[in-house]
Order: sequence, then C-alpha cells, then structure tokens
Amino acid sequence: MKKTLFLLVFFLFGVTLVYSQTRQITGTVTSSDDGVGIPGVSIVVKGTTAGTSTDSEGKYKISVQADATTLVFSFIGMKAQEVAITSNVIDIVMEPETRELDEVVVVGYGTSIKRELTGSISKVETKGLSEIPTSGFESAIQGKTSGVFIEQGSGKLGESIKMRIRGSSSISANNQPLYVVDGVPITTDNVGASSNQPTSPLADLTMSDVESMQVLKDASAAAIYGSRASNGVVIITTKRGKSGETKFNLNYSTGVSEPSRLMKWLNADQYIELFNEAMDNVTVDGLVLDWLPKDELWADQGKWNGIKEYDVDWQKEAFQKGKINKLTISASGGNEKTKFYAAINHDDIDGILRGNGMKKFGGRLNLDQVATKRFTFGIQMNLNRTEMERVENDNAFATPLQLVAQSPLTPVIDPLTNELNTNTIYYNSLISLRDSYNNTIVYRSLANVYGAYNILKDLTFRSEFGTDILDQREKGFFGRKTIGAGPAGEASNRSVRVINYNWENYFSYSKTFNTHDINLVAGMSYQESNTVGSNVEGKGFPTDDFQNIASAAEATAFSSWENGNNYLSYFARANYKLAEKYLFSLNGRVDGSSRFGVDNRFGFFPAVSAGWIISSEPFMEGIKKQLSFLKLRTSYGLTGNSGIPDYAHLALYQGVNYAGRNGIEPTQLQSRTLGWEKTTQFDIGLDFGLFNNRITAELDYYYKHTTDLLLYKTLPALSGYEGVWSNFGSLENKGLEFAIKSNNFTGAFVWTTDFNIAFNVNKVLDVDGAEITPNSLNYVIEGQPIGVFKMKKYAGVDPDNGDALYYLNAGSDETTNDYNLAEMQIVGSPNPDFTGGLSNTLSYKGFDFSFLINFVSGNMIYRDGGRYQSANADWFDNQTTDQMDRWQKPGDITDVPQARLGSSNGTKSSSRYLSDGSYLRLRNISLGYTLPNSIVKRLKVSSLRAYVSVLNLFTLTNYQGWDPEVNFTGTGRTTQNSNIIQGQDFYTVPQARTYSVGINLSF
Amino acid sequence: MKKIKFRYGKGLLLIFSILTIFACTEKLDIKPKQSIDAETALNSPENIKSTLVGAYLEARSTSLFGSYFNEYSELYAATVDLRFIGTYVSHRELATKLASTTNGNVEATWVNAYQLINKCNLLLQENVLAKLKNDDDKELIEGEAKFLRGWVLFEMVRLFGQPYKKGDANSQDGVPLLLTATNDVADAIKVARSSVGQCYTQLISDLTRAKAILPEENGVYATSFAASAVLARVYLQMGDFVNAATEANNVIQNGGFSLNSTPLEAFNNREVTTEDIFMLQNNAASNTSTLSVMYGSLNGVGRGDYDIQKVFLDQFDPLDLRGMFQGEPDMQSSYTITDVTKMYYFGVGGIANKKGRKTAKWGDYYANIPLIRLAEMYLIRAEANFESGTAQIGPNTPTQDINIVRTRALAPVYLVNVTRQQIRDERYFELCWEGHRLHDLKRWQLDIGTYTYDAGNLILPIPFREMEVNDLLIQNPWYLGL
Repeated sequence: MKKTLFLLVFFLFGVTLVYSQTRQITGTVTSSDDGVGIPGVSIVVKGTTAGTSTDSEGKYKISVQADATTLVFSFIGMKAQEVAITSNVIDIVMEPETRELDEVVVVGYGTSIKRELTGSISKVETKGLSEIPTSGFESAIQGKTSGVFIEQGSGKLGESIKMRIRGSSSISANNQPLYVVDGVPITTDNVGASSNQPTSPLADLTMSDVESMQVLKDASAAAIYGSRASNGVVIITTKRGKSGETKFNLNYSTGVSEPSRLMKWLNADQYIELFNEAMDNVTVDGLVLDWLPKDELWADQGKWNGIKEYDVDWQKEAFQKGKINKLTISASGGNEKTKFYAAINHDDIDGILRGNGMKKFGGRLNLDQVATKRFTFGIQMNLNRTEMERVENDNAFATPLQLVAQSPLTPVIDPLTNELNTNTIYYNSLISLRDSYNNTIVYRSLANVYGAYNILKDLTFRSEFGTDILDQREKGFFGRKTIGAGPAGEASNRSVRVINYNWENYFSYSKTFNTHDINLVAGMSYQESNTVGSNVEGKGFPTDDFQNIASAAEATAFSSWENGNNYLSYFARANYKLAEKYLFSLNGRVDGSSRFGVDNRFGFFPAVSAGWIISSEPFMEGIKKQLSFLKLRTSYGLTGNSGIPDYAHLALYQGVNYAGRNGIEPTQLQSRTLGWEKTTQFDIGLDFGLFNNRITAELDYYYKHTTDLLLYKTLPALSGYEGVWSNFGSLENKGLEFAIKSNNFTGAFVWTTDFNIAFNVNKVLDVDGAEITPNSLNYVIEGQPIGVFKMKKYAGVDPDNGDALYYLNAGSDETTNDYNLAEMQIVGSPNPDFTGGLSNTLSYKGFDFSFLINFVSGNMIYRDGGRYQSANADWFDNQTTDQMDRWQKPGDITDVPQARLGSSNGTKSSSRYLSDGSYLRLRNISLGYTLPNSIVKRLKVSSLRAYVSVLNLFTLTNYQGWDPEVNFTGTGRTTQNSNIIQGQDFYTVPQARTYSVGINLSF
Repeated sequence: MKKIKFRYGKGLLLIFSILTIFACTEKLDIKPKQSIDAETALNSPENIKSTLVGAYLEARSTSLFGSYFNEYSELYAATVDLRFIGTYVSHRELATKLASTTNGNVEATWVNAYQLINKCNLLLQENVLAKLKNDDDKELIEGEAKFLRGWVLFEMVRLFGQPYKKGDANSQDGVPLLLTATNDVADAIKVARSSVGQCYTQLISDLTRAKAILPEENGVYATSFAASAVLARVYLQMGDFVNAATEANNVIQNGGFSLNSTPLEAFNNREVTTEDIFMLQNNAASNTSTLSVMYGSLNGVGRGDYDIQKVFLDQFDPLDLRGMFQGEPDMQSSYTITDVTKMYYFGVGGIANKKGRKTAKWGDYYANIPLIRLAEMYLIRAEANFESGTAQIGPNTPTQDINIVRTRALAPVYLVNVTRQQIRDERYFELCWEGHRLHDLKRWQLDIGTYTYDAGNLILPIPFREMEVNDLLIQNPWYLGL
C-alpha cells in the first residue's frame, strides 16, 4: 500500500566476475550518520528467503546462488537498499530514513502515515531531547512546533509551564492540552500547596524515554479524545525494544548554569545620591514628609544606612552557580517474540537561584511479547522519584530574589555578630536559606498493560489498562529566626496522592480491496481519578534541631481532603482512502463526566475531515519533479472542555473551624444544567513537498469558536456568592501556521533547516458585557483578547515640575498629574501576535552541529515589581539604575519623574511598567563529535559521541526586567486566574543559561 | 476438536470484548467528601446551629471585623498620629485616602459582608427557623443572626455611605439591603443602594430584636448585652444621645462586666476577660491574625506597617499607662508580646524589619479580638449624657465615668467637670487603634487633615467587580471624579 521509494545511493563497480555454483559475499554495513558498523541489518537475496544479518560490528557473510543478482539491505530507521551483486565484497553505507511524508505518526487509538493524515498533527522531533540540559521536556520542545506556544513562568525548577495549542479556548476552565502517555491521559494539574507557585506533574516524565511526541491540533485529530480535546492533545509514546542484539546506551552530561539575564541596580553612591534627593524633595521645615529629619529616617532603615561603609550587590546574593548532571543508561533488544526496553535515569540539578534544586531518579521497563500468532501483550512501566528543593513564591520576603530590594549600604553579614545581617530594610531572606527548607518529593509511576488479539484476519481487539500514580509530599521547616516563624519555629507537612486509572477496549479493522482502503476503530474508555490529601502545620519547637511536627508545641493548621472525577466514553473512527488520493475520515466520541449535572452529563463530539493528494493526479505528472507532493486537507469538528473543579455543579456546604467550634458554611450554588464547553474548529491545510521532497512544508489556517464557555460567572456579591459555574459566553481563536523543513544538503555533508511560525488572534466574544479581572491589570473584555491589559496610561513627566503624567482619556493627548482622574484604558495584550522557531542541523564526517532559535512577538509584559524596583526612590527599596535619569530641574526631559520619597509620584499601577515582551532566544546550540569507527572498535564499543551544548546562550529583547519569558500568576490560584493573568513579572526568576558537555556511548 | 475449541474461544472473546464496551454509567455519580449538599445543610437543628457558627467565622474575616473595619477607620483618620510604612498597595491607597475602585481590600470587604448577610438570611428563613423545635434555640438563632446582620450593616453603611445626619431624612446612598436568602442562582438578584436612613432603620430593627430575644449569657457568642452595646454605638453615631446613654447604661449596670486591672490586660487574651462584652475567637489553628500582622513588630509576629508617632504619645499624661513606651534598650529581637509590658514598644522587626513605635494592643496572632469593651460603654455614657442636655442616665456624671476609665490607666483624674474636648480626647486615648477614630471624627464633624469630615474620598468606593454586574448600583461621586 505504501509507496516506498527506493533510492540507490551507492553502487560498487565490480571487477571481473567469476561464475561458479555458489559464491561467498562479504562486506560491512555502516551508518552514514557516524560511519559506525550497524549490527542486525537484514540482508536478503532478492526473490528468495535466503538471508543473514550483520554481526555486532556490522560485518556480514552470505552465500548466494550463482544466478543471484541483487541483495536487499534493510534496517529499521534506515533507507532500504538494493545492490546488484557485482563483486564478492560489498560494503554498504546506509542512510537514515528522511522521508518525512512516510513517517509514522501516532494518533489517538492507532497510527497513521503522515502523507495520509487529514487532520492537523505535528510530530515533534525527539532526537537529542535527552541531551538538552534542562529538567523538563516541555522546555526542550519550545519553538519546535508551529502553533504550540510554551512559556516557562520562571527559572525556578519543576514549576508549571504554560502550553497553549492554537490559543486559549477557555476563560474559567483549563487551557492546558490533554497529555496522553502510552495511551493513558495523565494527571497534569498542580497538586502542590497553593501558597507557593504551582508544580508541574509533567516534570516527572523522563525525556530520554520518549520515543515520539505528537501534537493533535485540529478537531479532526483531537475529537477522538472528545471532551478534553479543545486545547489540543499531546500524545507521547515511550521507547520500545527492537529485535536483535542487546544494545546498551549511556548518556551522561554535566554542566554549569547562570542567570540568562541580570538587572542593573544602584550602587552605594547612586543610592545615597538618589535617596538624599528623594528626601530633600519632600522636606519641609527640616522634616521629611512632615515626619522625621533626614538623618533619623536614614537611621530608621537599618544602622548602616545613609553612609557609605559598604557597597553590596544584593542581586548577586540571590543567585548561585547552577550545576547540572544527567545520566541515562538504557538497554534494548529482544528477539522476534520478546522485545524489551529498560532504562534508568538520574538528574541532579542545582538551580541558579539559591535554595533551588532538583534531583530525579527513575527507571523504566517496556516489554512486548508475541504470545501466539494472534495474541500479543505487553507492559510499560516506570517509577520516578523527583525531589525538589524549593523557595517561597515570588511575592514573599523570604524568596531569594527579593534581596534586590535591600539597600547596597547594608552589609550581608553584620560585623558585630558575624551572623547574617538582621538590620536590613526588609527581611534578609538569606536567613531563610540558612534556617529553613521546603522540599517536595514526588513519586510517580505510569504503568500500562495491554493485550491485543487478532480475532479475524483484519480485526483486532485491544484492551489497555493504565495507571498513573502521583504521590507528592511537601515538607517544610522554618527556623525560629526566619520570617514569621518566631518565636520557636514552624513546620509543615503536606501530602497528596492522585490515583488515576484508565481502561480502554477497542476494535480496529482495516481492509483493502482494489483501490479502497478502510480503517475502522471503535471502543470505549473508562477513567477514574481520585485525589486524597492531608496537611498539617505546627509551631513551637524546642530548638531548631527539632524539625518534625511531632516536636511542635501546637498545631496551627490541619486538614484533609478527597476529590474525584470519572469519565465514561465511547469512541469510533472511520478512515477511507480511495485510489491513494482521496482521504476521508469521520470520528466521534461520546463522553460522560461526573463533573457535570445528571442532565448534561454526556456530550457528543464528532469531526469530519477530508484530504486530496493532488500530486497523485495524472495532471500533476508534468511538474512532479518540482512539486513532488501536494495535499489539500480540511476538517471540521466539535471538541469539549471539562477542565473545571470537581463537583462544580453541586450546591455545597463545607465544614469550618471557628476557633475550635464546629461550623458549616455555604460555599457554592447549584448549577443544575452545567455541561460541556464546546469548541468547533475548522481547519484547512496544504502540505507540499518540493524537489523530490527535499523540502516539505505545511500551511494551516484554522478558526476555533468556543461556545457555552464554562464560565465562573460573576454574580452580584450581594447574593452572598461571588459567582457560579455556568455555560455562558463565547470566544474565538483564529490563526495561521506554517512549518517548513528543508534538507539543504544530503550526503556526506548534511544540513537540514526547520522553520515554523504561527499567528493566533484570540478574541472574547461574549461574557454578558461584564469585565472580569482577577488582579485589576489583566482583563476579560468583550472584543479583546483574553487577559488584555487595562490600566491608566502613563504619559511621562511634566518637564516643568517633575510630576508623573497620565493620559486623561483614551484616544486623547490631554494629560493630568492626578492619577485618579486618568481613565483606565486598554494598553496592550499579553498574547503574542506570532511565535515560532528556527533550527538547523549540520553534520559532516563525525561532526554535528545544531542550534534552535525560538521567538515570541507582540506580547506585552507588566513588570509589577517595577512599582518598587523602578519607582524614582519612592521608598527605600534599591532601584534600577535607569532611575538615575529622574527629573531634577525644570526643563528636564525624561521618563522618570522627580524622586519624592513616599509620595507615589508615578509609582501606582500604570502603563509605565508595561513593556514589549517580544524576544528572540538562542534556545539551544550544540556541537558533537562522533569518533570514527577505527578508534571505536579499539574501545570495544559500537559508538561514542561527545558533545557540548549551551542552553539560552543569548536573548534579544527590549524587556526591562530579568527575563521576557515570564509569568507570575500569584498565589491562591484558580484556573480562571491562571488563564487571565498573563505577562506578569513580580521578582520572577530568569531562565538559566547552561553550558554542558556530555558523552553518548553505545555498546 | 482442536479447531472447534478454537472457534468457541474466538466467539467468546468477541462477546467478551463487546461486553467490556458497555460499562455502567452510575460510576459517574461521585459525592463530594468534605462538603454536604445544601438540602442536608439546613435540614437539622444541629446543622442549622453549625451554619450559625459559620456566620461568626465569616464575621471574623480579615476583611470584616477581623481587621479591615478597624484599619479603614484608623487609616482614613490618620494624619500625624499614625503612619503607614508598609508596601501593600491596597493599604497604601487607604493610607493616602485615595482608594481605587479596584482596591482589593474594599472588594473583599464588600464580598464578605454580603456573604455574612446571606448566611444570616439563610438562617432567618421561616422554613429554616421552623425546623427548630425548642423555642430557645429558635430565638437564639434568630437573635444571633440578627445581631450579626444588624452590626455588619452598621459598619458597611458607615464605610460606604456619607455620615448619618441627625434630624435629616438621610436620603444619601447607603448600601443595598438584601434581606432574602440566596438558595439558588435565581435568587441572586440585583438590588440598588438603600438610603442611609433606610439602612439605619433596618439595622436598628435587627439589633433591637436581637437585644430582646438574646440571652444574657451565651458563651463566646452574642448576648443581649452585646446587642445593647452595639445599639449604644449606633445611637451615638446618630447623635441620639438619650438612647445611646440608655443602652450603654444597660450594659454597665446590668451586664456584670468589670474593667481589667490595667489597660493592656484587655488585649492579647486567649480567654474572655471580665471587660469583654463581645470578642471574636482565635486560636492556633483558626485565626484571623491580620491586626497583629499590620500593627505588630515582634519576634515572629507582624510587619510593623503601622507606625505610631511620638507626637501622639506626647499627648498622654506621663503617668497614663496608655501612653507608656517600652523603648529600644528594653526590647530584644527575641521578644514576643508576653515580654512587652507597656502599651507601646519599639518594634523589633518581626517580618519587614519595621522599627519605630508599635501599639501593644495587637501583638498575638492567636489571641481573641476584643470588639466591644466595657471601657467604651463608660465613654459612651459619659459623652451621651454630656451632649444630651436632658436628665442624666445612670448613676454617674460624665466626669465620674471618664474618671473610672482614667483611674484604671493610672492617669490623674479630673477634679472639675470634664469638657467636651476632654471627653473626646479620652475616647481617643482609650480606644485608639480599635477602629473608632474615623467614625468619631465624622460624628464630631471635624476635619481630617486637609479633608472635611464628609469629603467624598473618606468613604469607600463600591467595588469595580460589583459595579460590573449590578447596573442598579450608583458609585460614590468622588470615584467618578465628581
């Protein structure tokens, strides 16, 4: 069925042939990648079953009949070759298969071939992922796939990452895609304490185990996952064994890291100059602010303030030299009946922020067994332990980065006590680093057992049972000298366990007759997720040496909880292909969820798609050389979203504790008809290949329209309730995606280029006219994109008097120095206009070189911390150096208002702290060298590659803060807040720049 | 044989496979584990009583009696006596008396106040009260619910509406009155603001009824005397001096309360003291600790954001315990509130390293929050008797009442009749940082710094979120730039 392109790369011209009855042919098969012998290559005499395979060094020996003319060399992942027998020695160089259009793509409940896809599915290049020196796999795929926007909220390790496929489709419900690992929709919601930033359950996955990753973007691809598919689906499969000799692979890398960007802060002289001026400007009759004389106010800020005895760079104190060590050892192999893949991995990372680290240990075993001709079964399982050493959330005095607020005049160590200085303006968070810890330990196991039975020739039944067990423990101890933990220390112990299991049963049928290809899938799935948790906090310890709650004098908090949700689903898909040209697909899923009221529990999510491989038409023959492939495809369908809290439809009362007296209180109104949020999506795409598919590209236009939004609809608070879950309102996303891959050079020098770019426009259509804002900065407003910034618009500084000015009204140039009179207006959007990436891979002889650039453009960032950091000396927080440009005398033209202590001159929330967040980042660059065969042989290994790589080498941006890849959604989050609050920076940690070296060894 | 068996096997497998496809749907019913549904909640006397406890918890919210009611008053009233030196944006807006309509504290107050009112409304439904067999329980619950509703309305109308004017129709905007319970989304109706006069009528009705049906003893919960004490405040605010004196006198004469031996003993208690007419309960595991967070600056407690200025302490008589200061040499960074012996102390930098003078009234996260103390009743009776111009109510002259309070503070007593200014000063000396100042200044129609007592920025804005969803509401004019 598949049209296989056989390319003869190598001909060996023979010497004189001697004919005899049989002849012996010998040779070596090497890989064009690295020149190393390939073991296990199958060699068959064409037209017979006689064959052999290469040994561990890629050598072979075969006896052939005298009349044999051709040998066929084949190996998975390599281009098969037919070679004429023209000599007794035939050496072969095999090339990796680069036929993008024929690659296998994993879709929901099956696989497909890329050229035959009718939906929009991106396959992510996973090769080399494990070599990238980061802790999570999402960060390694940034910029690689069109239409997939990934944002790491901060440079802290293991914290949650925002992923948006084709924009945000919801306001109050979850906007993250569904992740399906080896068939199991996994737990992705943060289960960490709400007082800190969310942790990411995806951090527990191991990159080196990932075989393939595909992103289902349109309705046709995703609808088979029905009610949870509106945000797209990420399908991940893990590596499987291949028959042949056992292959071991070892990858080890080590590196160091530092902040990718720093901010510039005032030194001691500048600080004294600026704050003296700020105080002088508000001094009347010798009293600053009608309050204290200047020297007394200086003294109030700690005993060293006002005089230059020290000149401390506090920013430096927040950071440390990061370290990263990653080790993966895997073994895979098997025979025709049994195949295995086994791996262990260990990551040890010290973050760039002091007190931030991560250790991961894990193992995996994947086993596939062909039991009988008809029955195969297998098991995939892993167990991971992730330990995170964490610091407090960004908006806490105890978090290291808030050290930048300290005055450069105050020393880190108090010379009188030789201890950490406690006479700083704000709490010295180094004390927390010394006297407290806050660790999160996660045990995660993803396991999956399947059995597949070939009932009839074309009919297979497959049953899969998968579990995802997440056990997260958070343990903290805060010594008596740390902030708020006096007089005798505090400790906390929190534990959450999520057990999520999934059972799926489905039939697959495929049949080909004449020019008709039919492929059918039908089945059911049942998923149950249950979360139990408990938390206890205690206070009052004999000494700081006692750190367990057992030693606490009193419990300050105690709680336990249990939640659950279940899904029962039926799904079916029919694919029909006519004459290898016309493709049709119809699929649908019926989903029932416990999250909805009885009446609206079930939803139906159908999708239809069609494709036309135009290049297979006879009329295209003439230009086949230039336009080797052309396919038009389109799809339309309905997907759902159920990413809301459990029990959202019920009227609830919860138990409360009024100082030891039991009470209950209403918490939620009933929403009887609560049902699915529905997204209809139209997609039209064009796939094409040029010059024998040396260049392949995809172009997509989509329109996503979400209705019956699962909106936490704001109620008049008069009712006693802030809101109620309802199906109300609509929004849309539309966009354009383009991805191109070019094999610029093939042969000895290989150079491939990948480029992708995606534009998305998000617009809220209907939320009943009300404006919704969780933080008075990001809003949901009809006609605007989600999270749009609305605030007073800063108009610079009055040259006459140094007052901060604001625009009085939107669209008017009239300004005012009265903040309260200025109109709130829309000043920008945190959503990028376009995002994308560019990667290049080059290899020559043993060398390989690659780099990946990603870019984000058109989004705004609000640096909320600016109100303290860049506030023309409004309070004693150290200031960014740009504040030295303050207005000083009439006629000064500047953007920084006159320094006036405690007078809020331009320091209230306004567009003054809003800036363009566009950036272009050299995400990863790496250079590798594979040792030639001759040396490798002597080392008795099959391949050895050494590499160096740099992550985040540079970032081009105009952003004023630490890092333009930022978002701080605050604490006490709700899903709605996390959706709306975007582009916020509040003392948020920048990404790391990591330099690493590594080796990859196979034997 | 073998062939047949195989065929059977295949058939069975097919049937089994098909069966697995049709699993049961009842699995989709999951009952919540830490909550109960609304039907159950208001169905039994036990649950109804528990709902009432939930209302007290709501009243204790940071945004209500737990802290903000106090802070709005003190921050808006502050001129040179108290300075806000913290970083919280919402607080700073209030300290500068330039709140925005999106002020987070104000929004929380609005939301929680109406949550409290709804909790009371739920309890006051006829069909709910009807489920209570025993008459005492029924009256108890009605009384407590009306006490809480009436009191929170009083605080709300004082904060969001222009001051009550004696002898006026008081048609200025107060707060919306929604006295029916929300059992369903359909009940979440929009209501316009009632006038200040209508609000006072309603809250007096609630409190009067509460006073009539509540018992004299009720554990840590509201009593008839607590209702009477709140009524004394209400009447004082209205300038109805006869009623104010009558209610205060009722509490003093019949309540059985007595002043603690020193002023500081009235604070930071984990038990109810003899002076407490009503207090909110805190303990280690359940508390609203924000007053200590804002005012305190001790080991492990407080940001020290409210700095009391020397000019204020200088007003006290040198012997007055209420103005004593435990200075820097006598404070150590290890000190907690139990080491503080004076009413003011030099902050030791609990959280934000804020030094300066701090009040010792709020220095323990887990201590109860006294809301009405007996001392206030003496001060109300004194002022009301002084101002009423009619016959004295109660056994004491205003001078005697004032001297009772001063004696306890070891301040020299007044030997001649007190003046109006002395009565007013005494209120400040005794009740400072307890949330009375703004309302007193408005009552006395005194300027606050450069603002007149009825300046538009000295009342809170209707929160932006509420204006967005209720088009019947009219914003306070100052917030519209008027």
